Amino acid sequence: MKPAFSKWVFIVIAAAFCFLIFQAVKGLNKFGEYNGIYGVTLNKIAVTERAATNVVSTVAFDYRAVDTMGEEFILFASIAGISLLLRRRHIEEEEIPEEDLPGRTSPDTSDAVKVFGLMYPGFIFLFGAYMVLHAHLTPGGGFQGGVIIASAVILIYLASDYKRFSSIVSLKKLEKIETVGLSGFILTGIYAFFRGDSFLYNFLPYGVKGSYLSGGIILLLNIFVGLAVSGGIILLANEFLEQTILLRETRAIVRRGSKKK
Amino acid sequence: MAAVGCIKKKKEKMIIFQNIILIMIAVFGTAAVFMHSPVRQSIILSFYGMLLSIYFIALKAPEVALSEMVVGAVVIPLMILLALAKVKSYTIENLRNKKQK
Repeated sequence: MKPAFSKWVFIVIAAAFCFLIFQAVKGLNKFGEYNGIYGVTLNKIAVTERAATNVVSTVAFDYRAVDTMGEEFILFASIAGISLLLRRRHIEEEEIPEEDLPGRTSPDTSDAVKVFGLMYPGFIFLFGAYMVLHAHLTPGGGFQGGVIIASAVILIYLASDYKRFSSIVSLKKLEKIETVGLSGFILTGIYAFFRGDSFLYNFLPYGVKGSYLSGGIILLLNIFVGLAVSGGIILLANEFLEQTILLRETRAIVRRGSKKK
Repeated sequence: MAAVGCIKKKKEKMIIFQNIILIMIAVFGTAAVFMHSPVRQSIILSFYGMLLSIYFIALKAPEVALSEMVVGAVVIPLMILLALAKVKSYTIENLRNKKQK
């Protein structure tokens, strides 16, 4: 295609797109205006019906738990895809990281980062666990808490190096954690079948509003999601770090060959 | 009546705050597009995510704010920076050497 022609095609399509977008924006509600029924109804009913004070969690892990399961599978599929893409190929080999080669010293990690990495992983882990375990009472939930827990582990890498990180992180255990999280979610949903209810029906007792054990399966599902997400994000980070720091495409051999010429 | 006036004033202040953050989001989004170096882009993207999460808090949506904060501050910069570091090892020199081989 000639450049001039493709430019005209672009202009026509862009004009049509702008026109449609303009029409769509014109039909939107005013900012802050809401005239749906679902939200208003849920705000009135959800807390009295399920005794959990966080309505967002109630929607995501009870009324629409199937949607959350779909999101869970999206994360799982993307992590599986990345593990497959970034696997160790036969032309790649493990190389000593450049800064660890003999005769080279890398600049030391700054003291501030070291102190931060020593002090905070515990606190951050605790905060993440709190967020997972209080999903039905306060803002937060399995996903957010899971990523916070994962960031506590990644902080260990920042403060030390990849060797220590990979010695702490056991890939097999992480995979098991993710599997337990994912299958626990589904098995909780399937368990409702044996009671004659529909998939992911809230079968546990709802409890008293505001007390810790309230909201039925919301807490249980959040714990499973927290496990799956924290395991998955650490796996993801480990996969990327391994690719970036350890594996090289047999570059050393190629270089020697070019020097001889 | 005084109480109603107080609430109105608070609402007005909140709207001004929201508008300031909206403008900052627009500035940072444009900056991320026009920044040429991908490393700087990822750093600006994380700031952009933080501003978005502050905006969600201003709109009284703490759940979404937490998700946005977590994804914008941890996952996106980490993946972009690590991917960039990997791409850098594929320099033009290395590719040429491979072809000669």
